[in-house]
Amino acid sequence: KEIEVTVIAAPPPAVTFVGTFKDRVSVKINERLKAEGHNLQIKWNHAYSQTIAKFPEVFEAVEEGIGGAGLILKNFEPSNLPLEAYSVYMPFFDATRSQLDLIDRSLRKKIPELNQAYAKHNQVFIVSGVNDSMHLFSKFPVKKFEDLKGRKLGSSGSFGQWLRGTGAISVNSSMNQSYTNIKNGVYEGYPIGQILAFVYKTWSAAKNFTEINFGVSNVSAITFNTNTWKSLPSYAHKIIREEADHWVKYQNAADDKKRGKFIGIMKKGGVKFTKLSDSEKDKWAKAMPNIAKEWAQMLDKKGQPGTKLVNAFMGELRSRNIKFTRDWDK
Amino acid sequence: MTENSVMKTETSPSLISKIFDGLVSAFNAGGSAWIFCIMLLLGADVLGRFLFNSPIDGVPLLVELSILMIVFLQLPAAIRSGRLTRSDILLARLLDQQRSLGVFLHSLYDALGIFLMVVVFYYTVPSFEKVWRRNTYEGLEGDFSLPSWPFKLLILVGAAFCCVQFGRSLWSGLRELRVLHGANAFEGGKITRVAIGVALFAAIVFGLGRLTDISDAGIGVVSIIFVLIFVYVGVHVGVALSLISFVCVLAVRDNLDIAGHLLALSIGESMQEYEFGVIPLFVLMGLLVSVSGIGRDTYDVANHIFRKFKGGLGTATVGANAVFAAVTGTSIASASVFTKVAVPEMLRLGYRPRFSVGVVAGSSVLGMLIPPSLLLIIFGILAEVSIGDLFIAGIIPGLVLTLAYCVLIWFLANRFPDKVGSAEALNNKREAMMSGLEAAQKSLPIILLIGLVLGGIYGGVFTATEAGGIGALGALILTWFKGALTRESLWQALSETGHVTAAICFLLVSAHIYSRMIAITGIPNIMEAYIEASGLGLAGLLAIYIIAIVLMGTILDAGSIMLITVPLAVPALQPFGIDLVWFGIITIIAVEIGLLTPPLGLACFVIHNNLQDDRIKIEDVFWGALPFAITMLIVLLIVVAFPDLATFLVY
Ligand code: NA
Ligand code: NA
Repeated sequence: KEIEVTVIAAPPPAVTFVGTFKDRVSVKINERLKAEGHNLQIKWNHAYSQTIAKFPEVFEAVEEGIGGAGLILKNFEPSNLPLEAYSVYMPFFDATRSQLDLIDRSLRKKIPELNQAYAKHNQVFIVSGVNDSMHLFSKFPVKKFEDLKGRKLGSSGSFGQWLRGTGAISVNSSMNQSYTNIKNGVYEGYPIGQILAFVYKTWSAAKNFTEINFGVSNVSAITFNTNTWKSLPSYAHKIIREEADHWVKYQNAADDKKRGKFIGIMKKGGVKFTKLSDSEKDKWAKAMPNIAKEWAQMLDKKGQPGTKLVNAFMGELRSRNIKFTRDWDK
Repeated sequence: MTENSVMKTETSPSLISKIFDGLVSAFNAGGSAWIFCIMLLLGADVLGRFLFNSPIDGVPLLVELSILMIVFLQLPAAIRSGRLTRSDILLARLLDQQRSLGVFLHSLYDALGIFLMVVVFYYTVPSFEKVWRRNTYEGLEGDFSLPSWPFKLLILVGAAFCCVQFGRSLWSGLRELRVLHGANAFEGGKITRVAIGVALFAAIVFGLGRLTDISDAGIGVVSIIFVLIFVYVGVHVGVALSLISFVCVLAVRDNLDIAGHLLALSIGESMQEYEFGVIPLFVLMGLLVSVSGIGRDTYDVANHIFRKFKGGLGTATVGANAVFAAVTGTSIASASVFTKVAVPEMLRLGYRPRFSVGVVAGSSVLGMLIPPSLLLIIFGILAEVSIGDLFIAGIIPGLVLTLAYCVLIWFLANRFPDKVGSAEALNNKREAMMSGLEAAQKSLPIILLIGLVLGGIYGGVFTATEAGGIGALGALILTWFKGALTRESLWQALSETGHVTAAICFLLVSAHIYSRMIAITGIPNIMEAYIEASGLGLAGLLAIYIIAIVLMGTILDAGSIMLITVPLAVPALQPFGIDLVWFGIITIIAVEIGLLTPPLGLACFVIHNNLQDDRIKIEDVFWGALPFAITMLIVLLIVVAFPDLATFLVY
């Protein structure tokens, strides 16, 4: 028996979280179904690269059943998934991707509102993906915090929060425009990870890489349309969830493989790699307003557990002995 | 697209109908005013950022949202003035020669339009309810955000207005049928036969679909035949693509709600893009250049310079387009600017209509081959190639194409002079018409404008997309300087801009809907598997790829084609060690041929829509563009044969 599931995602498979679902997770699910003797295969209709839905449409398209499943980007859904941006609003922590993966799972147990937001939109949340940590690519070298003052930096959505209090001017943009806009001088840098900077060519316009480690982010997720999910038998549910649990591991492995190669190409292309010292990072974090508190209070007012989430996240960092630069909950 | 809604009723309009007309006009005015605001806001944002390091919060979001507002504010008025794009091949002849049959079909297509708008309305209601209940917003709270519900409400009202507008056209069609056939409108034997034929056809298609076990991909393939038929018989192109997609998704998923939501979601959201938002500004820039007389002056100068060449004004248009291409990132912009600037001047100087529009259509494709180019950016991201390399690689092929066009014009002017223009337009080796000083004076404004836009982009003052707003503002100031800016002329340019934008964006969105339907049928996955299994060599794959793109180009828009094909082709071709920069240029040229080919040739539609000239039908534009499309194909093969043309400057 075959059940067709159309999976939609906005980026192309070249972007890790899409590629690893297409080549690993979805394949493994069918292998498991076969190995365990179930008379069922899922016919995945991979509809990526904005062929069915553009970046801001994916979530709604899964909600309406246009896609049976989606690889969503939460940062495009500030209104529908307000709580999911927590790692962006508490930057400068040193967790690895697998650590944030564990934290994300643990938070979902403590704060059911996180997953309820998906249910409200006719979706079943499966698992979060975790992106590489974000750093800075810029035209100018950044040795100390003060180097940012008066500089124009591109950013999209909530990531612009990181520039508040730095004296840098945040210009609203998106990663895929970063190359052209830096090249033409609309702004002079973009906070982005090495791999995405390679995919979106940011590096070839901005030849100074500063390792800042804003932190890894739980920016993607696998979700299923509730009706599609219900049309699958419970053994399939179990297998899908178990296989999806390896998603972050696959992402990590795929990126580790790419990163070295990409950094090599970038070095050859003249990119200078430096690291911002802890004391300068400290200055940066201290100069910012408490964006986590502001964010939490705004959510509290709407009846969402904002403060609870901020406290829980910082608690997770502490209990796992993960280094961070600022106590956002204090 | 035609003015073939000839059935104007003689009776005085009722009060309700007057009120409705007033509402549609008010909507239209709102859209025009908004275009003006967006232009000012973009200018203020760029200035604020450049001079005072303080961009204005929210301008990018407003630009993003504005296209939706403009389209739904102006679409009803565009329908009223009969400006939705459709083919005339059959319908115009019928209206002329077999009046009642023509009127009947015209009414039938209006009914299809009503049906589409009802579906859009019906499926936007729940989405409106949802954003209302949940207080959904656009943008980022704390940064700059707007509630979502007014935009959904606007879609609802706009769709309702469009529905009524189609309804009025249907009503007057039925009235005319009554007049033609006495009391019983359907007594006309031919109409009855056609009506029965249409019903039978629908029943057979439905029955075959139900009885035979047609696969999803099969539905997708069959849909192409229907698009061709629908467009040929004169259904509005946008209505045809949207409705066929709706029916196909319904057939694939067997779920009415999914099909309806796909339509509503695509119409409501797929336009929300910054790049779409600047389309009206590029159109406005073109209109202002023409209103101000700058276009006329430029052509006087060009005619002066090229007066010794046969067909010199055609050559001048191509050259001017190549220069303008360095300013703009989309061919839509090139086509609309040069329609206003070049076509009237060429007609005035005795060139044939078909040739004039053909030159503009053909040379508008330079806009996306010569950098900056929206399509090259999309390719770079899809194929993971350096956009900078792609831009550089586009230069030589762009110049080769420019040169090829000039050779083509020279050839046509010598071999088929009667197809190009009148004898005096071509053969008169005129004396110098102006002094050097006068020529310099006349070309100063266009040089200033190009300098403003190019200098702004490459000087880092604004982006290639923002350039639309700045260019429009610059053209406005120049128009004012030349004393040609009156309240009426500005208002007319703005409202014209709205009509063109509404018609073109409606087409773009319906092409998107169609390509989404194709993705839902799973055809891309099947193609991927087929390519993997076929074991074809590089030459075979490349040939299939180019043929597929050129064929898809007949129905789909450039962006949609690349989204479907590039992610499939790159992994299939990479093992052969091809150069992806070269491959990108090949892709762009192949995709751009589709801008010139019927039934959906966007550049031709833009020209026809901007022109609003009864003498020039959409078929004329397609015929005129044909030699240029063939030339593109030849240049494409040259670039395939000599990859160095693309890669020479890069490596
Ligand atoms: Na260009
Ligand atoms: Na075409």
